[in-house]
Amino acid sequence: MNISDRWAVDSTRLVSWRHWGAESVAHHALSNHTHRLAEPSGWILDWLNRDGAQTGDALAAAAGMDPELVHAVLQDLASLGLIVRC
Amino acid sequence: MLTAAGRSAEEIARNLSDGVTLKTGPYRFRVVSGEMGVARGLSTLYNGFPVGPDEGLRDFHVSVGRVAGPRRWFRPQVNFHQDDQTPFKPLPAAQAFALFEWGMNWCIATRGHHYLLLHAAVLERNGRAVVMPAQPGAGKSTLTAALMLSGWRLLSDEMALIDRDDGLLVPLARPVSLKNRSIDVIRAFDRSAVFGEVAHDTHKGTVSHLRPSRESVRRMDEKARPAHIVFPKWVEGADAVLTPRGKADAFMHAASHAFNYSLLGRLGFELQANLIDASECWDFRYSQLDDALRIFESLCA
Repeated sequence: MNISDRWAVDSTRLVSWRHWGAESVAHHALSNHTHRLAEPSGWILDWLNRDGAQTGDALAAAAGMDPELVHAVLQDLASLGLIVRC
Repeated sequence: MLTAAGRSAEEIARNLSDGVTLKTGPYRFRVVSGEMGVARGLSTLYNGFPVGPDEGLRDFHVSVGRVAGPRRWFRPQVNFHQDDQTPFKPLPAAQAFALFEWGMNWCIATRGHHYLLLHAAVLERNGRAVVMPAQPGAGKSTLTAALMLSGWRLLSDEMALIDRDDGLLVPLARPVSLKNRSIDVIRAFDRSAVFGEVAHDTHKGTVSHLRPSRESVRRMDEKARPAHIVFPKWVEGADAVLTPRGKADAFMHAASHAFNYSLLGRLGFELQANLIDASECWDFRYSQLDDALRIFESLCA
């Protein structure tokens, strides 16, 4: 079984977030948890929300960032329920 | 509706035994009490508030009355009731007015979920409101009292009510609760300040309430636009210093002071985020009121 490397925001109806400079907070409606996020988490949420599902490599290439860092952030966001594989 | 202005405690007491309606900000309380301490508090501290006959729609039906049994007469105690609930343990009758105030806070904090409710003071100057969330002992009420006595409009000493429709701050304009040393500090700050009776040996120590300014009461239906969130902390001997605080950090910290942030779910998040969006966020340390007032004047100049 292949596990997709494409990620998307869980649902724009369930996840809300705000940025203030390099800081972000996000809220997941199902868990009712609020998370304070460090960069580039907020930027990645924005990107996935705007452009739809992306792979970690594509995100890293677009941002000129270390792919390992981007993959780690994606895993963190997924563990919080903010993004899902699709 | 009439106001409590110029009405003696005896006159209010006569009405209170049957019930009166007290309007404070958006709320109307039906109050019943045979306690003279409550009547004296209403006469002294709710001067200018609409206090009317026992009629019309009310948000809360509350009463303060003697407990049954020997404690009705021997070292008498009183209970606070809201409908058929009795949320607190009985307190000495001498603390009846303080119990009434705490009971009103409890009513709003547990039922006012059509607002986002923060444990915070709110004051306004020049159309710009400052929200001050703080832990007990941080000097919030002392600073609030001094600002109000210096011409700031008091919206609340205890609770910020954030309107879900427009994100504005809704006034309550109720008396400021001062504790222990703060009572003498504010008496010395303004000799003309009007205090209610002093309640000794409460679970918060010595407590007395300060009458809200006439202007605060007159404008109790006028909402205010948030401009600053200030986290105050009184530190003995400290210079007054205002330090910017990151907005995400301020968001999380202010949310920890909310009564119903989690209850409101996504709406709570949106209201809180809108408040942070609209506000500059600060930490504030101080020891001297005069220094603090100067800095606050510059905030809302």
